[in-house]
Amino acid sequence: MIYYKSIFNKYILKIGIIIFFLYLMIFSLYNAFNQINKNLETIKNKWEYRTINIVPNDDINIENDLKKFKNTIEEYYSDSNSNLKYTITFKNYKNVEQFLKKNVNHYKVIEKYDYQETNESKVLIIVKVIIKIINVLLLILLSIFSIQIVSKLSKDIALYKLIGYSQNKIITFIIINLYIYYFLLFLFSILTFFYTIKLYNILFYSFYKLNYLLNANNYVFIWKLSNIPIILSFIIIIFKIRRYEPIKLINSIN
Amino acid sequence: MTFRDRYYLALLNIRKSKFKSILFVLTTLIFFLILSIFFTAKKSVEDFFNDYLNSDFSNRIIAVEVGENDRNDIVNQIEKLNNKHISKVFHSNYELFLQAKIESEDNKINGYASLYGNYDGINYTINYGHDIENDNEIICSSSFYPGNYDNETSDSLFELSKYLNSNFKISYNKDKIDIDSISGDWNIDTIEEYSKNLKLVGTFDIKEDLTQYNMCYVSSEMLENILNSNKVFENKEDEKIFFDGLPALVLVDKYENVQNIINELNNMSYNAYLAYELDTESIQSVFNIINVLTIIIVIFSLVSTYLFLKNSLKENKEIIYFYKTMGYYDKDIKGIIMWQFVTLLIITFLINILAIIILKPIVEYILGKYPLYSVLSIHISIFETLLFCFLTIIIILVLINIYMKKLSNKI
Repeated sequence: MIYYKSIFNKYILKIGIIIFFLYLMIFSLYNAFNQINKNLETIKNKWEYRTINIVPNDDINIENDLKKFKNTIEEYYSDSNSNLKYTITFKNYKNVEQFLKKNVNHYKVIEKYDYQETNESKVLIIVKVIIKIINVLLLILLSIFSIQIVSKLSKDIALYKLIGYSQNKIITFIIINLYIYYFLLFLFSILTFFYTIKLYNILFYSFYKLNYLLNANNYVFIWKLSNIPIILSFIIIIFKIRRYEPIKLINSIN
Repeated sequence: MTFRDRYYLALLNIRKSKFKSILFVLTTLIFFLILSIFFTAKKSVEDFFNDYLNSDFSNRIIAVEVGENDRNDIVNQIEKLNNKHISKVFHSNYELFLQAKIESEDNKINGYASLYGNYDGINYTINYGHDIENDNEIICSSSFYPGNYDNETSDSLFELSKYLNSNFKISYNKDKIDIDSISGDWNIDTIEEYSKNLKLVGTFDIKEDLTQYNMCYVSSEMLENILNSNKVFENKEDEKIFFDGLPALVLVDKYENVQNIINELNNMSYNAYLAYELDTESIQSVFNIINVLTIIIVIFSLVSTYLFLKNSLKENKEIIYFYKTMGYYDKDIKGIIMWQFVTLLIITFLINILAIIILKPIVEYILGKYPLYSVLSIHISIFETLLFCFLTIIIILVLINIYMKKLSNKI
């Protein structure tokens, strides 16, 4: 039971609530980041950037090439007058370059609109950078609170030492307990975030529909990032554990 | 106990618990910074889009279908309306601007620019030099990128302020247009090449006006003279075919008046609409994302700050017990603790303002390195952070009262 004392410390539980909110904030910002990426893709995927006008070289059977790309082509037609000019609309703007690269010597490109960044897309890119900066600040906050948790464990460590646990054993169970604690907080914030978006969409659907755009890879990435401050706090425990002697308990008012 | 005594003890507490105070300032500073950065970005983006709608005059141009009617009649009738919000009526987009070759005296700038007339309703902010006063003067965007046709250094963005008061050679063609009435083929032959030397008397701020990088203004009279004589038609019929289908254009003074003018023209049985339909959907989507982020950031910051302040206050339990043992009144203890936190919050707020003021030129410098992204002017927004600071002070006052009551009941 004493193993879990470090986790059920009232102060640590309270800081845990702040960390839970920090996770929620990081998820929300990441979700907004993905929404911006989606908007940028929509701008890039406008009809004109997906459509090309080409003329096949004499010895080329265009139908063969089109068959190879049939999954990526939305529609195509040839000029009714000459039967030489083909207009092809792809499903995605990326497919245009793929098609032209693979068939570089087959066609003469008559018309192709290259994507040019608009003022809106430039501003969206700047907003993305700002979201990244805010996320870095949130990670710094996470570091501060993780270090606070560790500093609050000094009395617990002193108590474990008094009972007779070895330093290695204390480090092992504190790190395991805290890591599980952070992971549970993380899982709980994922659930809360998911239901918050659902609740928001029920209440404020008419104002603006929020899309849930975080996938497993995004969560793994955020978890890996948030491990940096957590591991930093563990390193502090490892280096400071020698200083936490049972004598510290004498000063304890609690 | 006087205010001075309370404040002295509050400062003493801060000094005694130096590490805790620094940690408190650092943590609240990050909250303040998150809010300041976010609201500064929000204000900058909102200002950008508001300017975007008004500064770029292409958003204020209305197209009026000509159809089978006489183009001159339509232009005259619209001009006769004498509507103060109508700045200029153009016969077609061929009257709006001239695409001309532009060369500097040292030939470093050698490309193409769009020349527009300085009509009323076309606003620009001069950042170097002065506005056009004579026909032989020109002003261009301060960061200039003269197209990528003839320009060998097409990746360079020129700072035109360095070229102030120097001459630029502007070249354009006089074309003869002959349209074959049977086959419909167009023959456009250059019959003469003209050039003019114009003096660069000023530059306008591209960030404020959100125009293209290769845009210049000349006197409207001179532009009209050039545009009236740079096309020759074989006959009247060719001229009609050439302009066939092109709408007449109406320039409006402000974006907010555009819809009223469209309605007025439609009521006159013209088919009028916005010439360059702005993609307001993507702008609205940017605003929606920002609004939702605002709600999230404000709510989470408030909740996190509340929890953090509660914890920080509890860490002062020992000091409060000490003062109680010494016989201080609750009112005095409240005052001491309150001033301790208020002082720390004010210090945090001041550091935050300082950090933002230092960060602004750094960000501007970084954005300046990437000219394509330097469209955004940074407008610092302190008000929301100040409001948040007041809210934090109110939260701390409420928490102190609750906490002291709890302690009194315990004792």
